[in-house]
Amino acid sequence: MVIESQASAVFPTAGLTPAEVGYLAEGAPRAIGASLTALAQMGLIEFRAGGKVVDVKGARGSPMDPIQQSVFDVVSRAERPSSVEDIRSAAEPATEPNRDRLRGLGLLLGERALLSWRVGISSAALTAALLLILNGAPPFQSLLLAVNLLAIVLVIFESRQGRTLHGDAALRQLRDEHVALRTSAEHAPTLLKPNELARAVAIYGPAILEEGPLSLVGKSLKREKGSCGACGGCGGCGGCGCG
Amino acid sequence: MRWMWRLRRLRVRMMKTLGLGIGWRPELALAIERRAGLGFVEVTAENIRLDNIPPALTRMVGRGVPVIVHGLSLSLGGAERPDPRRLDHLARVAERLGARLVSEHLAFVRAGGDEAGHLLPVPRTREALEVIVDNVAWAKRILPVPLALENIATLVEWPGAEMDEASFLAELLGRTDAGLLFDVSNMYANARNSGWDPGLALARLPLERLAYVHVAGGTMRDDLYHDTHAHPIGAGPLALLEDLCSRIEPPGVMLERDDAFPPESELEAELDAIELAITRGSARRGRRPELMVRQA
Repeated sequence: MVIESQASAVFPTAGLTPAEVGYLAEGAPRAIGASLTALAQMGLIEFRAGGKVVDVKGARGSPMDPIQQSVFDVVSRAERPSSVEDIRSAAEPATEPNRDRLRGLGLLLGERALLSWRVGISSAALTAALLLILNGAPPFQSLLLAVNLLAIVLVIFESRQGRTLHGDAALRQLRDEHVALRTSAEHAPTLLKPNELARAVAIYGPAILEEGPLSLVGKSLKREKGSCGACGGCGGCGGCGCG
Repeated sequence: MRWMWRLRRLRVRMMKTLGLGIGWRPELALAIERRAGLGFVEVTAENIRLDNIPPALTRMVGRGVPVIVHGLSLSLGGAERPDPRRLDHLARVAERLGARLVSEHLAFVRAGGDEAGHLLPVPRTREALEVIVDNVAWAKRILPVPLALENIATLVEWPGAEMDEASFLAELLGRTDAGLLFDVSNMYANARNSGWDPGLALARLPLERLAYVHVAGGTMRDDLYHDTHAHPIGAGPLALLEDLCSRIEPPGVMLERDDAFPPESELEAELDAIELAITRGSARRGRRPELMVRQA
């Protein structure tokens, strides 16, 4: 109860940028998706059928933060239209400062804490298997049960994107506070400022754009899974099971 | 005497809660939430699904922003009684949103099972009046909150009118104990297209029954003024609103915008223009507007 009440305390989420909010919600893919949305709303890039992105020649304005700059550089330097997947891969390093800031704010677990949790979960599963075997259970079935249990718990753990309880509370708070933004983004996204639309996508995901005039953006960005962000790049979590 | 007491009670309640408002539309949800000092919102019942009320609207209700539920399809002016399912929906939306008031148009939208798709004017005859009085009384028995009736904009008139619009409204409201939702822009449109003076009509309206006021933008097309709800409010409707406010303190005034939604800054400017018209009208009456005082 104490932990829950602390976790649900009001968190100053207003200071988080759209990219940070995106990272908190779904890792690097969402942060980059929010940046792509902002750039499209600014008229600097354009989404085309098939999820390809091109820069708009002669457009006014410029990217407003390092992730947007990185995304824009990838798109504008490419000789052909870029796929969203390519942009995500290329721009992912630019999201690391966001991850580090969120860790500093106590909203994401640090590398050590992540490792400790993973080791702890794995140890608990193995211990459970050992106890079952010691109590006369068939060894093969016990190990199989432990591996399944481990997989399920790890998938649940990794789907949290490495958020702490405070991180979960902050995300819940953001989702509660921005329902009007979501409604406007779903029904009239073109009326929103680039940062507002990017924040909406960061909090609620690109699916909110799918039914409106920016459906191409929403559909192109929808595939967020497959690239790891919160776990600090693929590998640490055992190969992108964390998405 | 009883209706006077009930009307006074309604007006006192409205005065306490309303101010400058706006029609809640999902496209404008963010701008509406951010508008400082907004007194109330009006929700169109036909756009609300009871199993899926927009969270942004629920949040506004939770914050204590008063809600008025507005109906489009009751067809109170029709020869048939209002559809019970539509009436029930209107009542349930009002209950779910904790509405203080429900409003509908003095119009009919269907006849003999055919839907017009538009608000059509009622014949201003004694015979029609009897039917509408009966329809309104029937609706009021189902509705959980007071009802206000709105004057509509129309390009056609039924022949054989026995009363003008103001007289018809006054008699209907007097006999049904309903409030008046006065649409400034509708009256402006009718007056402009028919060539009569809206100021004179205003003087003959039952303003003592005023529940709240609609204002919307329109445009000229083919020498006719169309109340589109999709253009900025012009000088004409604003002048009529000022005229109204020079005669009476409206319990609430709201902007209707239903299409070609503008950016937030333009919407703000529209609301500011309405506020200015109210202030000017009140100044002509020699009073500081209650509407503004409440929001200060």
